[in-house]
Amino acid sequence: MRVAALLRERARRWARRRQGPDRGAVALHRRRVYILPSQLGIAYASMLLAMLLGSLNYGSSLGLALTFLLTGLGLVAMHHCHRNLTGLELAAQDAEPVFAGQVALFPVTLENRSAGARYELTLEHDGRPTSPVDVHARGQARLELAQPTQRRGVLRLEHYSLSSTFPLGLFRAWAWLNVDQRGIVFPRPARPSLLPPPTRRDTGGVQKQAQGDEDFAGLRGFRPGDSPRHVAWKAFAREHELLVKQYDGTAVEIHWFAWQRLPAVGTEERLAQLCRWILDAHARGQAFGLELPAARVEPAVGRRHRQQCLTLLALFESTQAVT
Amino acid sequence: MPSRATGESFASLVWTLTALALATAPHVPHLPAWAVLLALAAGAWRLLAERRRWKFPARVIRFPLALAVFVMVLVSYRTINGVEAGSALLTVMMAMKLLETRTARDQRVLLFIACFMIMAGFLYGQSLWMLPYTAFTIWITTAGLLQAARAANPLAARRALSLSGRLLVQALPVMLVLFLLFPRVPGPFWMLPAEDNTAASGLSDEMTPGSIADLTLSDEVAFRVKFDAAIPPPSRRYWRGPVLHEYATGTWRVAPALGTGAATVTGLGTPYRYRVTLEPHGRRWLFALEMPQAWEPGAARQTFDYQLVSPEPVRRLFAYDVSSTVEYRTGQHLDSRLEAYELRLPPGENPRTRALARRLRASSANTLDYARRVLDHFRSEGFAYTLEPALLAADPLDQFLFETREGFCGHYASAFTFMMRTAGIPARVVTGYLGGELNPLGDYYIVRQSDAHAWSEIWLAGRGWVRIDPTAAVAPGRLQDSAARALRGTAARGVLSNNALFRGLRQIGDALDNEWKQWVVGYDNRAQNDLLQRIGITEPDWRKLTLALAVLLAAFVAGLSVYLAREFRPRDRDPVGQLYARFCHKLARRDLARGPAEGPVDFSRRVARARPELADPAGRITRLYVRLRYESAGTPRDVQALRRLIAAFDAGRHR
Repeated sequence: MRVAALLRERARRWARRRQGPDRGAVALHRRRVYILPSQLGIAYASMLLAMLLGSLNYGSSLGLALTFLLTGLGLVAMHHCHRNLTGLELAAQDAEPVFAGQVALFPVTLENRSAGARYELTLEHDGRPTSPVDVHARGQARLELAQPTQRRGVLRLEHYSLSSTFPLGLFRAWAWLNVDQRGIVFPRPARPSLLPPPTRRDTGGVQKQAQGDEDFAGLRGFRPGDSPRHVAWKAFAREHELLVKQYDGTAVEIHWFAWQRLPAVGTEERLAQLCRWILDAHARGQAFGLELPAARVEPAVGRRHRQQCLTLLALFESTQAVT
Repeated sequence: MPSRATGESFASLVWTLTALALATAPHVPHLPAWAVLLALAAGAWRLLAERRRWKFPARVIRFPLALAVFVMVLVSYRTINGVEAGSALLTVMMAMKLLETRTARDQRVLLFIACFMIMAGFLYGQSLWMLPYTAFTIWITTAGLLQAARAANPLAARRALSLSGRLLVQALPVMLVLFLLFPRVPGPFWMLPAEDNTAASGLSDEMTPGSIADLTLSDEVAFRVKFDAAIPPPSRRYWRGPVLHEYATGTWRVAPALGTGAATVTGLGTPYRYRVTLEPHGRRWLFALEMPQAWEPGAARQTFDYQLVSPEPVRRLFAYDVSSTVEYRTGQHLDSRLEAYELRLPPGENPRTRALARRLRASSANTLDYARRVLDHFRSEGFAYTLEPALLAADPLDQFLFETREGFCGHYASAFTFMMRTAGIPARVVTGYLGGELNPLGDYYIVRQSDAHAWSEIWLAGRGWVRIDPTAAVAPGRLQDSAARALRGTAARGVLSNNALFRGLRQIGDALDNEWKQWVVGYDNRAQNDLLQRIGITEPDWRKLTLALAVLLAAFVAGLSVYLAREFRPRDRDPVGQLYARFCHKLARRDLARGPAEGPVDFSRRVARARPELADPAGRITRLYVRLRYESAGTPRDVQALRRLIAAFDAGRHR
């Protein structure tokens, strides 16, 4: 129903102008909660009309009494429906970062400070409602809005609605929320196919790469991709076989992932590759550093470091937010 | 839409099906057996399907099935217009809907059907004693509506019942207001079904001597009477019903309209004014004290034989006001055609009765004397008044007068009228009721079927039609008491009806029933006008009513809002915090929102930087707040001071 969707969007924008943006915790004021009959409510009204006509026709006094009781029930239900939402408090947090293609979860905490319980509350964004939850008197409930992601960047959740059809499903009360929640979306990592670039070992001090008395641990066969610097040329001169020097010792492998060293493919492919390397290095417990055109991160290990690097990748040259 | 039951909605289904069962139960006696079985089967199937996750039947099965049951209803009732056909149709519709109930919305639609079922049940009867059951059904239905949307997470039963109970109780004032003030547009708007299920009961349009005796066995209420002021003595409480003019083989029958002129009756003495509330009996007769002088113009008209009839058969409780006098004189002119009719007797029947009649007439001076002699004959020749007389065969009156000499009021009235006609006096049998039991709780009289009576009416030149009750000659106690009392010691009547406790209980029950009927069941257009006039709305029309309704409903809505707000407002446990929150809210409205982690002092400094003119008041408020909140050095006076400061705080115009 395109017309309905259009009207709803216009109404939402009008409400946004009227209410202003929301910051931090939001308390649902009476005037922010809107209410309309649902489809079932309209069917209910038709049923009441039919019962009214039938009772008047047959002169059934008790039939009229029943009709009026159900009318009163509808009226009372409307008030309860509206009251179910009014006074509720929401606190919205930013989403945990996810990778492109995964689903970002935006947590919303509902807090009910009043003495009455609140029932069947749903958050809805883009036509996707969450499962209804109840919030006990003086209790809390946590809902998560799921947003599928496709591209990297900053995912912004600008508006969604909280609604409920409690108690009898005859009315739908809702409130629009304009909390600017964000979530970082990391680029999708590439397939694990390319080998990581040559490693450097750090045995404690700052060492230049080519020299130093590291423990020589023997030779191994040359594998495509080894750096020419590690080739044992003297052995080659002797044996006519390409061999690579290996070193031993208590060393931490350090990787440097640099933008410039990647082959000249598109931006997204490069970012995907860097992402894959970061994940692999982190999984193996190896330190890594990141070098991008506009930023440089010294090698380190740990979750925060990984997060920081991935965030840099996510925000690389992105001026627009991703919705 | 799922094509298979998910198994999640079992609990809410149980609620829905319970509500449906409760709503349908009152219809079961009136439904054909196959419809009831169909409904039970559908309900059982749906529950099993939910338990075992069966697939729902496809359209190719459901549509022909629905068509088939529709046709079966048509065949059973030959129509779909009518109370019984309608509820059968509703029942099978419900059964068909059960086969495809998948979502919460479907369950709620089923519960709407239950509401219709409850309403249809009222068309069978609106007795007070069904009220608790109906209220319970409505309660369960509302709880079902609550549970329908909570498939995966149903409310506990107690909570569901308490919540729905509260909703219904809060809806009661609306119901009351609408019930009293909603304009009662008199129906019907469309044709009422031709065949109604109100079986004709009570007095019929013909009488054999035994038929009145049958009625005496029934305790059912025929009608109730409330007198305005004066109450006629018991011996005068003759309630005139159908008048029977034709006699053949022991049966008296109603005749076609024989007179065209308006019946003239002159009342003598003080009139008695009363209101009759007549139970539906399927015929057009209205009962009134002999003789009615005035009555509600539209409600009744008087026939040529002084009976009151209604334009429509009485199928609903019907109340009407009449004014009667017990002394009267009818018109003096007897139309010759009518006279001939009232003298007609089938030839050859009851020869001994005729002989007796002629003998007595010959020895009488005039008509009145003759009548007295016949009554004396009944009195002195050992006639008995009994409920179970011997059966009479051919020439029943001969047998009665000369052999059995025992009978009920019908025998005596029949014999007397026959003998009058034989002697050339126009006479007819009048049936109706005699008496009435006072119910002191409601100050009204109950006339039951057991008070049915038959008497005679003869034409005396110079006096017009005069009532003669031959039963008075045989059982004079009958005039003062009900037939049951008069028969004490003879036929076997239930011991119960003479038991004082039982009578007392029955009177309480009947008084309640009477109030129920007057105020609820019988509350129609006229009753509404009466009530409004008593309140002071002299000329009720729909505009004034609508205004009154709107005002009252608005008042109710306001009251409910206030009540709910009290319940949902957070407890006032932290007045200081709330005051400070109000202060922050005032600033937030001017784009100076306090951050979620910003301390009050920092906030106050930020405000001072952004809006120097507010620095002073904001600072004072903050200092007081900090003292109250963090230093525990505040007094209640300080809280008041804080309240005043914050109330006076004005964040000023937005730049």
